[in-house]
Amino acid sequence: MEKIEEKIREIAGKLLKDKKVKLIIGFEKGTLPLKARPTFVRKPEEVEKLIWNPFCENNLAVYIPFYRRYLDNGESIGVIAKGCDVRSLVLHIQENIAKREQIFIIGIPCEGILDRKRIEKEAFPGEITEASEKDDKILVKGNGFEKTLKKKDFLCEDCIVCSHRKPVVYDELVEGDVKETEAADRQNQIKEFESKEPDERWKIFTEEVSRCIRCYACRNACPACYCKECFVDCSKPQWLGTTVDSETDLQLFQIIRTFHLAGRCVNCGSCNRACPMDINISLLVNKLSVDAKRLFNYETGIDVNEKPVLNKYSEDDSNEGFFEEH
Amino acid sequence: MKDSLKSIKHIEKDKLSEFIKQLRKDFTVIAPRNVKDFVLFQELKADEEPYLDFLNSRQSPKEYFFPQTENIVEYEGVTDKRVPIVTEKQMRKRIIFGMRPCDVTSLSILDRLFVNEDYVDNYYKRLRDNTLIFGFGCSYPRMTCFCTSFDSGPFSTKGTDVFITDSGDTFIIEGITEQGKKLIEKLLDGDKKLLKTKSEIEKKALDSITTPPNVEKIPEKLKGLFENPVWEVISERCLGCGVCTYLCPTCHCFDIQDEVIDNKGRRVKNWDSCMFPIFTLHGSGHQPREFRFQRMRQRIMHKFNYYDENFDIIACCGCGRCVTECPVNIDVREILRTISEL
Repeated sequence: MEKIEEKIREIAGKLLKDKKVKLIIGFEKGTLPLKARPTFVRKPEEVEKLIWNPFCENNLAVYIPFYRRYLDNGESIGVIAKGCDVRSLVLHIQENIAKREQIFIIGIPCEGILDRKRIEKEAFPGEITEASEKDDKILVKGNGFEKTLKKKDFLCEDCIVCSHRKPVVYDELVEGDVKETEAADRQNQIKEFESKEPDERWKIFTEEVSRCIRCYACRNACPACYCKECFVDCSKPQWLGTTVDSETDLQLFQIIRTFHLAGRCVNCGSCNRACPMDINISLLVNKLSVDAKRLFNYETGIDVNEKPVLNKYSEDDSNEGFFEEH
Repeated sequence: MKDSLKSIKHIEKDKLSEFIKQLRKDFTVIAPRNVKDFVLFQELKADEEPYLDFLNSRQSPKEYFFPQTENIVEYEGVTDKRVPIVTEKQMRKRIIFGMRPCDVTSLSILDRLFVNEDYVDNYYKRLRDNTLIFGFGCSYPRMTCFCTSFDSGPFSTKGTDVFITDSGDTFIIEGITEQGKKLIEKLLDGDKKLLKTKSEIEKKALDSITTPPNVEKIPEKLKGLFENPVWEVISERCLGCGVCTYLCPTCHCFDIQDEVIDNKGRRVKNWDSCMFPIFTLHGSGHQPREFRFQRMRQRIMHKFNYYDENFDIIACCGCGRCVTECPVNIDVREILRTISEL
């Protein structure tokens, strides 16, 4: 880890000194155990605060649309990006949020992000007041307890099946010996849910979203959710009610959001990590990613020159789901 | 002190369910429940015991006084012939059982807005008047707790009707208000020793809140900071979601909407959040708080300056929920320290 951090600081410092980028988005130490948080570096002397560890849970690409004013001025932004962040950046480039040359990608090979919520539950009903990680272990301490956990048992679900731990596009790659894993098949993540009867699936989904408090943290943590006006916020016309006592509105919010992410979600899991009610937000969209792969052999955010899957048409496209003419 | 001495009782932990059963005869009991290895205040099911082995609930029990969605009026009929549907529902008296002192403090903060000389919000008042508060001492404050920055503390009984302290095998139960005293009359008496135990637990809890930010001078300090560039720094990582405001026990902004389906309609009050891009969006399309820093400034200003000016109290009770649940770890304690140092 220290080596990776040193390298990040070196690259970031040089970029800023050479004025190649206006800003570098990375991670710094958080104020709580198990937390690293996004940080913004503009001066070479500030690069010391940049860190890297498996608690760097946010997808930093989410900030790119906030800096349209920089991009419109032709300026560039550096991003310290793990595998999924890179894919979201590629999506932004494909969708014309930024030009390729305006995003300087400092790629980090990622061994998977640790699931803070699951680790915290190890201490439930108590809390973790200290945490550190080394090699393949996490050490957590709290009031009257101390536990050593194995990292591999606490990886985020999305990271377990991730097939792009190594950044697919980058300007500088921080070296690391990360290998893609055998479990790297998203099909594994949805298998169980998919095998259930429709009624049962509906029950699981509706129970999950019934806890929704409409804080929209899932949407705001998502790099693909950058609409200037989200459909839930639209008042002319109002597509969706704003109450929490209407189950339909809660369900529709998640269903419509899922469809808006079809072929655009990189399965980073930021939505799940952001949700304060521990809802499994990505339950549905993971299925769409599997479908995109199966039907169109498409994975989101791999090639900046490729069109997003729903923007292109080929005569050979699968017709599955279309009604046959009789 | 004398009064509380008189009404100090205790109950053994294994007798708690019997006590709750008694309470349920006359009251709806809302208490902490373990939802999915996190705790929420919800109505207890028959024979269910409250989940009292908790630090604090994920969401505050604010929603029982200021519901996230609340009908103001329901009506039927078409455009020019609307008839209100009047259903005078008798409200059952309620007890919020096991409320932490920070959350109790938040009610005294909200009271000043919703029930004051100039204005009374009948919806809030009705729920408030119909509810007894069973406060629950915080033996183990979280590392993000800073209730002691305000006029409160982990064992502050202020605003409660009954106050519970966990002393190991038993709960020490104090009647604070007359109503509260009456309710616990039937319980076993306590003795003076229990109070000593309580003060020991309290001391330990207080000692564990090590670095509460000093907020005394914050309202005054904020007066000159509206144009300060610090807001852009503080807010840069903010995603603009509503976690902080929706988990906050003192945030109280709402939006009013009309919902009409066929020939029935309702006017409904919903929580709103100053962190959202459509908050304060004018009908003309103009948005006076276009940027995240303006929204963040509003949240901090409202809590620590405007509210203090209007109601002579800071709109924060130090529960730390915004700190623990912010997806990008924006820490209000840190913000307060930054502001103090300016």
